[in-house]
Amino acid sequence: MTPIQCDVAVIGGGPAGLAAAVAATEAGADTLLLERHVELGGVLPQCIHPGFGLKLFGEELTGPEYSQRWVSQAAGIRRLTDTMVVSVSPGFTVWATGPASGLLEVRSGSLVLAMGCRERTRGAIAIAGTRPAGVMTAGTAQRLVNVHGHMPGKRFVILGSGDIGMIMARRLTWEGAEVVGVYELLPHLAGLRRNYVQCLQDNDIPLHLGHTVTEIHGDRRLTGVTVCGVDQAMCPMPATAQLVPADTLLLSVGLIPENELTRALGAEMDAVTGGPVVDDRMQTTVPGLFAAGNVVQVHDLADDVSLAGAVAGREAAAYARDGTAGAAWARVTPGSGVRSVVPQRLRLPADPATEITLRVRRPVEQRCHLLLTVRGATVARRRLDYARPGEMVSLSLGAQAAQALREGGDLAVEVVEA
Amino acid sequence: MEEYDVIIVGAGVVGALCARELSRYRLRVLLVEKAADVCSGASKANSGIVHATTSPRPGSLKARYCAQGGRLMPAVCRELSVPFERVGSLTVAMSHREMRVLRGLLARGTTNGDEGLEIVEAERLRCLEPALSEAAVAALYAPNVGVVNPMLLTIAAAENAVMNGVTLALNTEVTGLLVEGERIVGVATGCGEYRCRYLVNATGAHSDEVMRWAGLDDLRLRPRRGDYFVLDRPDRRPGPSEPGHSREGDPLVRHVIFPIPTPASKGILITPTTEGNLLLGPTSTVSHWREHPPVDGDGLATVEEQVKRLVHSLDLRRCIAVFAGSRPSGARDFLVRLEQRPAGLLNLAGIESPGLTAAPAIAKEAVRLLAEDGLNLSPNEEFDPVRPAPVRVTELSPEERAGLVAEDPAYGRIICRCEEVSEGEIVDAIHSSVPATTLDALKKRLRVGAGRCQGGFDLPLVVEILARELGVSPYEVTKSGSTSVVLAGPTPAAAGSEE
Amino acid sequence: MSAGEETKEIICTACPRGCPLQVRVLREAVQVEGASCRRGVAFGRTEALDPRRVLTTTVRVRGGAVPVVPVRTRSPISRGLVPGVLAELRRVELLAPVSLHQIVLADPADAGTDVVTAASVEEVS
Repeated sequence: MTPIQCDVAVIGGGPAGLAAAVAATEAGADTLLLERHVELGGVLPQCIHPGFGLKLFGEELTGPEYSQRWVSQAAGIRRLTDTMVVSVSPGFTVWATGPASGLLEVRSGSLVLAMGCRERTRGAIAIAGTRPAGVMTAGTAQRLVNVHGHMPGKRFVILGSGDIGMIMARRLTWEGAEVVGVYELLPHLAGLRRNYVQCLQDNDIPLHLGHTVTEIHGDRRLTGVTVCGVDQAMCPMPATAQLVPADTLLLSVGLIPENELTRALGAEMDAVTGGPVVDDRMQTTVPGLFAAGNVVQVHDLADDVSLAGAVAGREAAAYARDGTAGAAWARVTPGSGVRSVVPQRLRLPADPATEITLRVRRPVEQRCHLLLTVRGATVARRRLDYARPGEMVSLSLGAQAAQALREGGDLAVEVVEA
Repeated sequence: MEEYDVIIVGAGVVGALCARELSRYRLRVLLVEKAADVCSGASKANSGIVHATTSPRPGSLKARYCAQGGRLMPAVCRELSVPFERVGSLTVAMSHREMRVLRGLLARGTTNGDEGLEIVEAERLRCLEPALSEAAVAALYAPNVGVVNPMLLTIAAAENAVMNGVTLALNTEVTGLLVEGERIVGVATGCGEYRCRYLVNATGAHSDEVMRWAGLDDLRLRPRRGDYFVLDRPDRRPGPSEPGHSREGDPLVRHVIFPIPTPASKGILITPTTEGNLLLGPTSTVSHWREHPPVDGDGLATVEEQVKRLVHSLDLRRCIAVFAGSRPSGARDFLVRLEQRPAGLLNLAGIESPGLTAAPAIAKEAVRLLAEDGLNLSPNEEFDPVRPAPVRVTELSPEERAGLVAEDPAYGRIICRCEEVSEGEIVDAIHSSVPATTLDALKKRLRVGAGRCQGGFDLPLVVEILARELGVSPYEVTKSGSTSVVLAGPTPAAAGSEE
Repeated sequence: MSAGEETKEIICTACPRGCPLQVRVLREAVQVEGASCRRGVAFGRTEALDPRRVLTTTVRVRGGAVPVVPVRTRSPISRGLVPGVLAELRRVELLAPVSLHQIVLADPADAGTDVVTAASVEEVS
């Protein structure tokens, strides 16, 4: 078996991987893109709804169209589709397998991880009850309906008000199915309000906040679920239990970055984001190992995933060329009111143009400030009219913060109400 | 009407191993199972432990068959290419008062013939199992305790039986017994009647019902249900699998960890499976479910609380699945008996824990009892005890794997990413001697959809492969047979003008 | 409130903030309250008088590598026209190969825009 040589190998041909491969190639690197599906685009081809591309292309595209833009840009780049990466080794060696490619060994100077994320399942949230057919994640249903032309059921209950769940509520209604309701454990919507309006309100699909599914019924095929209101501690209140007949339960209860390969390579992980710790160039703590997109943190917009992918691709090309990983870093830590922050490290001297992205811990429905502090002193701020956990926000590092970091110390990010 | 020497009702671990034992002889044997797959009852949902004999009362059938079965198990697993690991167990005392119980278990196990039992304390205990709670005072160490995948064992035994001439009838529910005078002469099923000289009752949770059909009223089973968590396996190590380099990561817990038993059960335990997952459970509560009990939320809460007392660092966020099992509890001992009135009926009934461990011994005993009664056992010259291991791409060296993919590209297409299962392996399972025709059947054999994404990625692909290989529409593919269809039909767009 | 006047509670979706708007409609006169920006006022007006949506679904493909292809309206259409256009699309069958942005339905239900494909599909022999 003769190994394939390349400068940059990109694992995953979704929005992050495509942008990384395009950027790496533009930076002069001999790039190889590996994708497990027959087609490129990752999850995009099944996301047939609009809402993509406003930030990058200035027009509203559907997922397949957005994917097509990137696939055209990536035309000419060496790729292996229908090929699954099964293992990686430091240095970097990638083993992959596919029906056409056989078993391959790829040697690359640097590596971009762009495997995206997976959906949380019934097992992960441990719902009690029987184990019939008719329980699946919203994304699986989306693929069945939009790519394969299969209806997973006729009468649906959706648990979780994530965006995919709400989008599927509309999609299934439009395909003639009945969506009994969307049940959300939290007291507030998990996804975007636009999806609430256009997917649920438009189609008269009820949203039940502060509710969860406590039991699954049906021996062979799902016959119904027990739904229950929850108290402030999110514990189900048995007195509110109600049986809802349905033949399918869709779960839209969160996404988990897919990082088995990342951990295998020894990259430091961020317990909150579920992804690797990265610096402002999307480099993990392993020199030459880059990561971007939903493998790093779950994003709201594909456009942002592509932007992060482009940074990773460009920097991976630079590393493959000159092997410089950096010498010193400052940490970026989430402070008061901030749940998670990316990047978690800044390569020194810090680049003032760096965008710091973050998610707040709980909704702030009033004017507030994002603050960057170094050694207790505020070095940058941005005013926001509101901040919600479901919407990633960002601010630029700026010259003052970059200067402050030259003199040592770490960067803290906090949100304070005005 | 078809006539057999022996009909075995129930293709759980006892029925399947019994069929395999009988296939050593020139006999016409029928193995009947009401479900769409073998191993669909209690054999499917248990901890998969090959037990020591520290629990059963000396002199009981449980003690005898558990000891014998435990000794037979490694060879059976080797012949059937089923993973068996002698991981050892620790029964943990959390106080000095509980030490007395450990000494009692030690004495009982020694009487029953266990070897190597010892009570370990302090340093030695920490060294054996570093993850154990600080509060653990001492433990009974049973080095011979093993783990086996009970589903693979049952499937492999049934496959080997079929290879050696046994007929398997799936989706065939026995609805009554055929009686002539004082003798059972066959069974009525949903698919017609079958006659036999001997009927073996291996119906697990239903074994007392079948006995009552025959007018025998000395067994009353009260099913007990148990809830389990399955935790994700550790991450795979970098690099390909090579001889001497396993890609599997180190588990958090290496031994089976038991608490101090109660009179009713062995308690809620932590079991490292042969696949690298940790199994937490089971609870043990009386239930009316003879099979497929629903998972109970309170039960799960009890499991979480109990196992965390044993190992603080267990992270329940690593849970990838929950399930519940029913066990045919309530008998004081196993009931292994060739009936005289009515004649022709061999009951293998009330086989609760340690039934999995005992199964190889019970199967041998079944053959002995039938021979004693006059069943003629002339050797089957073509009998082959070896059931070859199905191809698993993850277990091949890079060279072997590359060669296999070159021969058949389907082994290169990975369908289940989490468990790294190829299309070729799925097709093999669908066409094996005990065919996997449902999603659950594939899950039992290959763990397709049993990993951390629980089938999120592979479901659409597996449905297509099953439909193609079985020559049915995707809308006929089921999760577990009968009405458990996975899909409702085409979307209006896909149905097009036919709508 | 005078005759013919109607107040609608609308969540603004001009941006992710989602301000709650109260829109009063009196014949052709529209008054929007609760918006934090000018885009919100404009949004409230349109949403109250003639809410518009981009319609996306799939249609059947014969002889293609996949059984269905995603389609979209080129621009948003009146929300009330959505069910009718969906029904019309269910009767459509395309023949592979299908190219990107190929017209599937020209100006269906006088919606003022076409339905086009959002992806291409290769032919399989």
